[in-house]
Amino acid sequence: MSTTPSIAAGVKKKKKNQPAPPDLVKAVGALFDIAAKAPPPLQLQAMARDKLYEMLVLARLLRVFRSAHPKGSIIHRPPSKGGKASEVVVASKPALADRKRFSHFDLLDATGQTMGEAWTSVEFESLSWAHNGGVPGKAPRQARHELDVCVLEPGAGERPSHSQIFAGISCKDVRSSSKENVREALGLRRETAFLQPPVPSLAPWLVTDVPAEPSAPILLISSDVGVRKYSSPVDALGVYIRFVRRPWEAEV
Amino acid sequence: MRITLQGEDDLEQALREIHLRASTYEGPLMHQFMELAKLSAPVEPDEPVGEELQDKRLSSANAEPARRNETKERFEEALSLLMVLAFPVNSGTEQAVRRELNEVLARDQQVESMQMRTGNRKTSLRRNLGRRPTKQQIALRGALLEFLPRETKEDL
Repeated sequence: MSTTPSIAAGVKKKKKNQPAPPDLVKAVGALFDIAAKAPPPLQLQAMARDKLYEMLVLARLLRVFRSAHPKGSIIHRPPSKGGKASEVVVASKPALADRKRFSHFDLLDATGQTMGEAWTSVEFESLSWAHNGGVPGKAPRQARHELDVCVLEPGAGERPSHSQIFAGISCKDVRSSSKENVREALGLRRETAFLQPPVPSLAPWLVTDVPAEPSAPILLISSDVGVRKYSSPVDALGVYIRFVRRPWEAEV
Repeated sequence: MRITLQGEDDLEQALREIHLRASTYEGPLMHQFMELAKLSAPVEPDEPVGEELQDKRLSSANAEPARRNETKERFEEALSLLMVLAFPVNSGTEQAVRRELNEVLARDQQVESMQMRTGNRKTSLRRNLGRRPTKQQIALRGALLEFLPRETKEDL
């Protein structure tokens, strides 16, 4: 006769004497079961996932502009070459601010004046390149950095310089250390402006004053709730930390 | 579905459960689960030094609330990551994001699809996402969401 049943019975008996685990522990266990069965994303899935988070951040950015300028407007500019208004086309990796190939959004105030252009995945030419006497528009790869979401000066060229950035955002959809992300945002800060006492921002509807010249705010937006603990003191350098979680409630 | 807390140490027990299971996970998401194990690991409080030590002794009455607060924060971080692992973005997420985008655009500008361009190839975001969760999983997610903080005051 197998001994298995008696062992199983013993375990059962032991469990009976233990207090039942709290609801929360059971729920967390059930959540873990789901997570443990999740397949790893394919490369294209991983790209789509990160891009979708950038689109969420873009939508939130536009919403902030809309609240600050209720009588203004936001206009989607699809790619000029074969694009259509109902289709947003964004770059899958760091790219030029190429109007022929990618979508952007014009931000207009109540008088119809363009206050900026919102883009995703744009590379800008760094402050160090300009400071080093680099020719505008000729920065090599190592002197260009990507902004996941940004607001550029109206009419900025394909290769915007650091001085044409009105606001820059680094988006992080968790899974990595928040502190590393903060250091990356500090690097973007360094490559976009010099530190100075706070002055009115180039995107005052987003952040009022920024201690930088040019005064473009740099934001780190993460779906990691832990990022909030880094909000200060980096704000003193013009880096602003925000937590944006997935739109769980709106998902159906 | 609703989760009721039975005691003050529920969060601590849940955190222990996450740590235990994340530490023993073996599978294709090893890296992510290791991160989760790190996040949920028990922490030793930093040793106070010098005057701080004196202050600390005086304020021992605050130690318990501080510890509870710290547990709550660690639990939130771990749960947040576990939720992301359990519920990868799916076509429902894409719909929710597009809805948010459309809310700020005029009627004649409504967006029907979002595409990623690589070279000359365009790829639909919607078609390359994970599976939608089941109704039961959505109910569990909804109940656990109550334990996660809302977003920033700035709403961005």
